[in-house]
Amino acid sequence: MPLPNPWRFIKATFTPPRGRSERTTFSLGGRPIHGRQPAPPSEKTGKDRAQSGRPLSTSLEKNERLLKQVFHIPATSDVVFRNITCSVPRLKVTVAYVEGLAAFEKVFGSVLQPLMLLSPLRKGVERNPVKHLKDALLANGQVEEKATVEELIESIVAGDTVVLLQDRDRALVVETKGWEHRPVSEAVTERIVRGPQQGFVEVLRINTALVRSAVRSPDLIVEDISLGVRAKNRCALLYMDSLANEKAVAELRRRLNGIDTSEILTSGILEQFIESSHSLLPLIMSTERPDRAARYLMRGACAVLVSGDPFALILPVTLFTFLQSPEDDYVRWPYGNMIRAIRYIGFLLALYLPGLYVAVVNYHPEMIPTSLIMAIAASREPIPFPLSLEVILMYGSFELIREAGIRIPSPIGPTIGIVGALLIGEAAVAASIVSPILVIIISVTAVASFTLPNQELAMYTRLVTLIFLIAGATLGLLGIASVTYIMLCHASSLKSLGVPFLSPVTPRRAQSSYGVPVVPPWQAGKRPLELRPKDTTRQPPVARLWDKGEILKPSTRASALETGSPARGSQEGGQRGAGQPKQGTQASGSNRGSSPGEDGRHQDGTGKQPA
Amino acid sequence: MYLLGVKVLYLFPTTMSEKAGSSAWISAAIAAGLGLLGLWGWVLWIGATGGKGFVASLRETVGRILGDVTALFLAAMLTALTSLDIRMFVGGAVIGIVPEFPIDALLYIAILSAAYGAWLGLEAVGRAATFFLAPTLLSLAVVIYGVSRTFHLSELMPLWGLGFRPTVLQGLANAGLFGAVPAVAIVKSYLRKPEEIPSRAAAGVLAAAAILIAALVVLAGVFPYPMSTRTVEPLGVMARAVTLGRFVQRLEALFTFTWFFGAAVQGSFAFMLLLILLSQLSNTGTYRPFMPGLAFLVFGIAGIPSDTLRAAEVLDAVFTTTTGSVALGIGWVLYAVAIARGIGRDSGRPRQGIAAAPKGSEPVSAQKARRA
Repeated sequence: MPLPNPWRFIKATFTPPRGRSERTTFSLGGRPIHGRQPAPPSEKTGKDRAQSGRPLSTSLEKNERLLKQVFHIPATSDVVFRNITCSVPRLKVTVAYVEGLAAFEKVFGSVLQPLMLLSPLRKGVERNPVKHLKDALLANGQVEEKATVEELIESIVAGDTVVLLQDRDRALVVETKGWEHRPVSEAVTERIVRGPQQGFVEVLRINTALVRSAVRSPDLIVEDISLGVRAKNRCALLYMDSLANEKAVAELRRRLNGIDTSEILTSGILEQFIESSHSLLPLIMSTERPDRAARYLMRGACAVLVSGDPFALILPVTLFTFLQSPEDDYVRWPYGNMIRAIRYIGFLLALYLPGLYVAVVNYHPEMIPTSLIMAIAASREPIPFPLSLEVILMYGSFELIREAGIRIPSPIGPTIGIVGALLIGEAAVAASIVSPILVIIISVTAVASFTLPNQELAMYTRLVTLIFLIAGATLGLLGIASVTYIMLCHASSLKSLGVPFLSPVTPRRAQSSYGVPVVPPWQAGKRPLELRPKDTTRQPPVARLWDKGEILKPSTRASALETGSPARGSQEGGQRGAGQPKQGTQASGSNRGSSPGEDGRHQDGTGKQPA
Repeated sequence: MYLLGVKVLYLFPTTMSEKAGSSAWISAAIAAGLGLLGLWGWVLWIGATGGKGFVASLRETVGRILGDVTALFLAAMLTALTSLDIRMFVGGAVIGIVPEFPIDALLYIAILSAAYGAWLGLEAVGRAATFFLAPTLLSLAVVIYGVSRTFHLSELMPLWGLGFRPTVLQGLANAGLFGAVPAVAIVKSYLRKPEEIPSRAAAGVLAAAAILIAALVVLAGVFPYPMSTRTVEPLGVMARAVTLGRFVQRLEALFTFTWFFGAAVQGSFAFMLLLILLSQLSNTGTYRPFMPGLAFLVFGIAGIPSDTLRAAEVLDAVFTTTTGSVALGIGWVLYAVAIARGIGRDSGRPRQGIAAAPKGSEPVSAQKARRA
């Protein structure tokens, strides 16, 4: 066995040889950057080559035989091939679908019944039977014409119904997806008190519909992209055409189309395929909430939904995005700032507390007040283990309980909390394995980690806490300082789809409203500038017109619509159209049911403005 | 900018007070003025040479040989500065927080941290520095507040200390404290907004001068002359004396924790300057191959002084009073030569960013096309 050559490894690290693929560099900015640039759109990937496809034959039997061969008929029992005869136009048709994936009601109502029973009722026949079937017979909202075998295969496994025609090299694909799925319910991983409670499900079209119901704008683009070569899954790329940065969208589209793998079944796997850095820090956020996805779309970000996964991927994001909860914006802004501050403190506690405790007690006990250090020393006196080992034992035990608690069956779920408390809190202390104060430290760390609203950041925190623990145990505060410096430099070098990861703190973008604090919604005039949206202005400086004594006249409202400003009169709960009463405008506070005239005065002529 | 102030607080107040007495702060102001003057010369030269790389601009101004010699001189100065600064900080850390650790281990940690920051690039270091500025300034403010009880403004008298002439001479001698201002010229081709160099660099020098002057005022007020000349590490001594309340005392470890960031940022930035110089001198498109050798060199030089005081003395002799002052004046010389030779601003703007890829490697798509 040949020995490894260290020189070759060193040389390869610092001077990559020609031909080795290098990571492309991507930036949202306008300056040219050095490094390998993204490939032009015409460059075909392996996936493209696989999808170029075999053309259909004009022989119905041949096409049917080919498809049966692909689907391993008769070994496979749930793929149905139904040969029927269409009356008008008179031709043989083969209908293929997957039982269980396709909704039989749609298959019957959109395909079988029109072709077999209702076709004679249709007067006038197109010369092209394919066109006739597509335009006049197949009663479905989505009917497409396909010409390759691979496209038909992809449609069948996606739940659509394929209609093969006699003597035609074209087939029709009718949308008939309708397999059993979980109903829309509460988001499990992102619970909030106030705000929408819906969560995504495993069906792609339901998820896109949930987002559409939140973002009621024709500018929302939902692009379907196929993933996987052997097992084709679908994902949807969502973005606001009038807001999202074009370079970011193009880069994301390029990454999604540039995946050459057998299958991608979940968003977690897709996330790892499209992230530009394999850092411990997550660069893509996942969310189970449609409202949250909608909010980020309205800021200029992009979302990716994967069929079969109830999580949406949001990018580009920053570190501060992971520390935000949708509830911050749903409650009043002072409360939002308070809970966000608690969350930041929780993040820092979860990261640093165990490491700082070990560092200070081991190396810098002079910092601790005398009475406290005496109490710590007294509690640690019977403990046989060094402090570092004690902390690692406790932290490891807590992680075991946390993992067990996720997978434990629900009926006995509460038991694990009691067992954990008994094990760690009482028995370990009584047995002099750990000190009581360490139980408090680990408990506070655990509770602090539960304040993090995002699962990826919570996982990162759990891992990095160990690193800080080791650094603190080795070199005290100096070790923690050096690890902090290294990690902060690393975070500063990261970019999420071209956006610096520590934006908007650094690099600082002036007038960015989506920074660390919660901004009152009437003052959030700018979209996040670090995302470089097409339209950075979210609202004018005076958004609460009623507060300034201004009334939006009909002509002004129309011009506001033309310029794309939010149509103030069309939002829920704030309509001031004709016939809509203006609440509280009368001096007496009663609602007379009258609307303001053109001059802003009411019918009684008082013209009194709200206080 | 705060790097200068933090670094200087370690030991230089002692050496400055030795020769100027209670007017050390005035000498610092004189040194700052000279530093601004030197910066002005460099900024004028930057304006004359446009956006070209530093070494390319040097070669264009004074010719290839002299240009390379100048670059090597600055590289040597920065190497010594980096190494001895790290040695001084680590020595202070040994005194302050981890006395039982061997100095070599701490040097490893400091150099590795600084080298990693440089490996990631100039932008990463700059952005990380933004986070550390606030806690560093806060810690300095806390130290100053903590020693306010022992501060006496009367100790700053007489105003001219040991005399007007010694004060001015000390100021002239210590102009080299600001000898790192050529850094703005070294990085000029990598900045996003080079038009902001004059204002930002001047603000940095002024801020560093303000911190330096404030530190010297505090030092003179807390440790009056001649006690101040025997204080090896005045900031460390002051930090140990901080008492903010019954339960908040002996926080020197916490302060050294925050000051590590300043030292690490300074080290990373200095590494970055050296890497830029080396890569431009050797005409390579990447700086990473130089990193291990540079790290070893810095480690080796940092390990030479036997203790922190000796490191400060060497730094004072090598940098503050000699090479730093020369570095300040070089800017004016280069500008004069550039004017004399009629070098204008129409130099093209080079590519931005320091390339990590080796020169000559072709993209994969081009290779595929070539093979096809």
